[in-house]
Amino acid sequence: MKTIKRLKPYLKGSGWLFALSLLCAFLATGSKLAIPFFAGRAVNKIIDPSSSSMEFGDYLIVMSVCLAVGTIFRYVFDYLTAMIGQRVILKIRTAVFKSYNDAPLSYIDQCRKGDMISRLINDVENIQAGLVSGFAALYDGVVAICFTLVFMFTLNWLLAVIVVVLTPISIVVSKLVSNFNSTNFKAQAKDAGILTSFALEGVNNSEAVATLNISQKREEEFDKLNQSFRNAVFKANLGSSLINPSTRLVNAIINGVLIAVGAILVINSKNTVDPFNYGVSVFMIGDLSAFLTYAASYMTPFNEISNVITEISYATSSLKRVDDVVNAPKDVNDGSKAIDGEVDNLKAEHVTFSYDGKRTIIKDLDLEIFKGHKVAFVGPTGCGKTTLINLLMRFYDPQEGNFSANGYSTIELEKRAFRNHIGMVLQDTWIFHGTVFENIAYSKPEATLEEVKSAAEKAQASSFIERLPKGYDTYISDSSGLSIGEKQLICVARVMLMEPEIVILDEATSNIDVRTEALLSESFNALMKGKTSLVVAHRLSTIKSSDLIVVLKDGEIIEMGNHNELMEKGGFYNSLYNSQFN
Amino acid sequence: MKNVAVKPVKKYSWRLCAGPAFKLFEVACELIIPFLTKTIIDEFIPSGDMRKTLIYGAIILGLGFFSFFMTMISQYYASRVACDYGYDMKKAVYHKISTLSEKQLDTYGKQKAVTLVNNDTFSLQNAVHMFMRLIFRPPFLIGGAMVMSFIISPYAGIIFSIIMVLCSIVVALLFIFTPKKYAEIQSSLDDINLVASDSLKGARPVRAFNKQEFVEEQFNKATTAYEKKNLGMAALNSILNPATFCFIHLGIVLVVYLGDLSISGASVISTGSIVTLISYLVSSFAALMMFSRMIVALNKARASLKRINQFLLMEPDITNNPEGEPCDSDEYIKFDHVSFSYSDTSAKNTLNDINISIKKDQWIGFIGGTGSGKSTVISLLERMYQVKEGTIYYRGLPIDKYDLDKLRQEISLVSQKPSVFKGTVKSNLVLAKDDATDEEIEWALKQSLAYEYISKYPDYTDHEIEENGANLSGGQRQRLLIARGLLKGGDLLILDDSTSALDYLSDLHVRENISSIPGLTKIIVSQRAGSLKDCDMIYVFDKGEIVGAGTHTELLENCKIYREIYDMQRSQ
Repeated sequence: MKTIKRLKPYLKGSGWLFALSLLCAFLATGSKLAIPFFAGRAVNKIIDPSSSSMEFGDYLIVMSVCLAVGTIFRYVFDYLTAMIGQRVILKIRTAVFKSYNDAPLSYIDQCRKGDMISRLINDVENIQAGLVSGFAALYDGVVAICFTLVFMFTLNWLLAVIVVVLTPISIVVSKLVSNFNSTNFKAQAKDAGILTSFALEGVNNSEAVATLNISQKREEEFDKLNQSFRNAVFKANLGSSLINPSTRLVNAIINGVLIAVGAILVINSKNTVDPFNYGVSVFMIGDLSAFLTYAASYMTPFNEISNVITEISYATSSLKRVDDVVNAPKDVNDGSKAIDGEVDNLKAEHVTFSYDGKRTIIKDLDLEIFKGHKVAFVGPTGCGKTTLINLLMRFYDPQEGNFSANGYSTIELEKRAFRNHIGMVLQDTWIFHGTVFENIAYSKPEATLEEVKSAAEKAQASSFIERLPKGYDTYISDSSGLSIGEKQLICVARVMLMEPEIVILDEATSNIDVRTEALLSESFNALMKGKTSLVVAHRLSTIKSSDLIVVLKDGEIIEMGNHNELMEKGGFYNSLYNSQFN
Repeated sequence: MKNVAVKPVKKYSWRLCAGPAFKLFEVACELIIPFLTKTIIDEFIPSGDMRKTLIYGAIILGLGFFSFFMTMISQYYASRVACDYGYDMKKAVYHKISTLSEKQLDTYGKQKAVTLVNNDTFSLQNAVHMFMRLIFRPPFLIGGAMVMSFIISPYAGIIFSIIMVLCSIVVALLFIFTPKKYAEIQSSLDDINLVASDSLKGARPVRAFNKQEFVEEQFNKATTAYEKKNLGMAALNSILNPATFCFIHLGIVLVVYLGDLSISGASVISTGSIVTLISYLVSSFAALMMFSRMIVALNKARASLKRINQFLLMEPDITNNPEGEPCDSDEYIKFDHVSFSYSDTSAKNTLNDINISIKKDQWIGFIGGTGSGKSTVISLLERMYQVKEGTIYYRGLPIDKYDLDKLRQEISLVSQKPSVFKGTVKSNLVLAKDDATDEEIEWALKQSLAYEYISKYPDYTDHEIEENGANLSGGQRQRLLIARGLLKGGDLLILDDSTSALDYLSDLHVRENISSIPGLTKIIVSQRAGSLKDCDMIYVFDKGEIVGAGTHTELLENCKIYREIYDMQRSQ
């Protein structure tokens, strides 16, 4: 039930298709099952020409019609099922992806990326195979069972009762096995996720693995995970492969009983008029033949259903895994207010923050930034510079205190509208799979090629871009062989193109050589002219001209002022600055 | 093409045959039962012999139980072999990943390689499982039923054969057309994978630039393409069920017709035979459906098989073949007219005619712009790539003759790429040295200044590190990595731009600490001229060439580019 509830939103809009496919299954299966009935009657006609008023040839015609109807509707049903399955897949994938997109960064930073991808790819496939195709097979099976029951009771109620009483055994057996097995499948899916994450990590850090000379060690660790996965799969496999033979055994028993009892009924029906036939007037060989076919096909859907149950149990745990991420926390406290015009002032009041609730990264920090100022953050590594940017961008929210813009707390502001005021280059470069043009125009999709080119020029990226095989149309990705410095230049070009109202540079040039950086600084100066800018840099030369330099240490502001003031003060900044050329 | 991916299967020799062999007993039982039924209908019912009817009924029951036990034995071996095979394949693929060079992995695609480990091996394993459990049943059953039909009557045999041939044609046609479509679907799935991992990695920029709609649109495009390809496949696959249904039931109609037919006064087939033949047709139909389902699944696996096979057949271009003895010459490392290019086809070299000489215990600096070739020289020294021209000598021996494991053990590289693994501080550190003591770890942390922040963790070195060190800042990561490099205790320490996220003061302290370690040769790659001032020798790189070599003072005098870099840093 829970499963259906979880699946329901994704089936929306496919309702009429679903109804149509149910109708097709009904017609296809119905005609298919009518054929043995008429075949039996035809056999009766051969044995005893007086057994019915229909001609033998009429039976052949009726059977042929059933054949045609069955063939056509079977095709439509199969295709429709696949179609519904694809629609559902599309909806689920979109929902999962959307949920990843809407999730707060604290959630994404915590999750294993391999596992997140595995849910999006593998688990969704499982759901299609198990819950959509599986459900269709289930329905088809149920229709087949109903039709078979009708025909069997028409032929002989006693034999029909035998079949109906004995078959549940096969359902009970398969149900027991699959229940027992669902934990095994869960264990298997979990192990698979761990294994994938491990492999992904190794591959992404393959250079480190080679240079640390630990490939052997990594292989041994992988081997352990691999073994545990093998054991999990073996259990799940063996469990699921028990279902089929068990139901088949039950079927064989029923078949044996039917043949014996059926034969006796035919003999009795022939020998006597009616002392021992429990109201069954005539039961001929043709009827027995039809009955045996039904008894056999009555069991087939149960077999199919039991097959499907394996996939359904697999899919159910996948659906749960998918549902977990679809219901991942959403980025909350999205305020409703927006800033009219430009941001005139940014303020941090008593901000305290910790990532894990244990170690405080920012301690009771107060700061005010005015429009048009260039503010630099310096301090030893780990002093909280990047965290401060994370908080300002509202990637994370502080535990205490708050940021405000133009007097509004940033929590009251609509996140996206607020971010629109800001353009940033981050320490960790990010390139997505797409052309160079697309990567730069990321910040401004309507940009022309000319604009992109001029942005790249300002970012000192044009010379290496033009050397790429197809220039701006070259496809690049995170692993396509660009150096970190080159990637950083592309990220810089994005901001050059965007010309944001507030510029944030978080170690934006840390991997760019000094000569290029010197050329870049002119472009940066032009970009930041008259704009508010926040710069995190360890090369103090780049921030000397700032209006305000904020020196942070252990999450607290220890010094503040412009370059000259701080140098005169002879404090931490002074020693930091002098150390550059030592 | 050699099929290496199938090779491990041979290892399971007898277990591999055990599955199908026991399956054979199961099929035999299934074929005998309809024949027993025929005897009951044709002989015992007309004669009214209840006793014999019951005996035959009991035999049919017995055969059911026998068949069950045979199947279970077969299933057990199938699961065992399939899981062992999956395990072997995963191991082989993972091993291959670790032997291939960086260049080969990049060319192949790292994401794709991981898909091999998790997806393709699993679908192959399932294929083996299915193959052993199910693939032999349908041919055994259909073949057996055909023989039985001919025994009943040649006409019946002919009808049965024609029907089966028609069905097989449909199945065969699908077998030919689906693999290509399936490969397309798979590559479409890779696209979805790529977009998703891009936007997960870029979670910050996506949000910073308010690009949620853009990535969603990209994702939509990928998923819609995937849907379209799948529907094309479905249109084809959906032919199977109705076509086979049509043929089999046509067979039933014909058999019934045959029952009414008599040639020269005698019936062609008995009524019992009609029942038996219908039963054979129906069970053959079921078997064929099973077979067709398997084909779809095996087809999926065939694409995987091909991919794994190609991957396993790749020859690692960096191999370990030690030869000759290293001599204890004074010259530790020498680059002799070395040229190199990342691409085999491009005419432009990344490195051109590089000559470097490094003596023991020297402190060497590399400086130059982005893309000038500094890091490439380091990669060549680690034998991540093969040189194009010239020779690198290491301890007097051409580097490709030197034991690769030893080489990498002796070099402690702190790369500019922050490779931190999920685990703890300690688990990351001991990657460099298994048996590092707490004192050694503390020493290394103190030298790299990582101690400053790690000592503040309440759980100290047991502090958890997230995937890719996501919970560390850039500078924290770098200091941790330097500690790891120091802990490794090689003879040569390389810091490849690995203090770029450190402030100048920390950078200076780290360098001071390192210089006090005795018996260590050091190569520092840096953008900062200031960091290299005290080096015994500085090499200046520009556009893949060395444009200057000497001490700081020498270079200031006679290397224009060096002077430029230095002046720029000073003046700013």
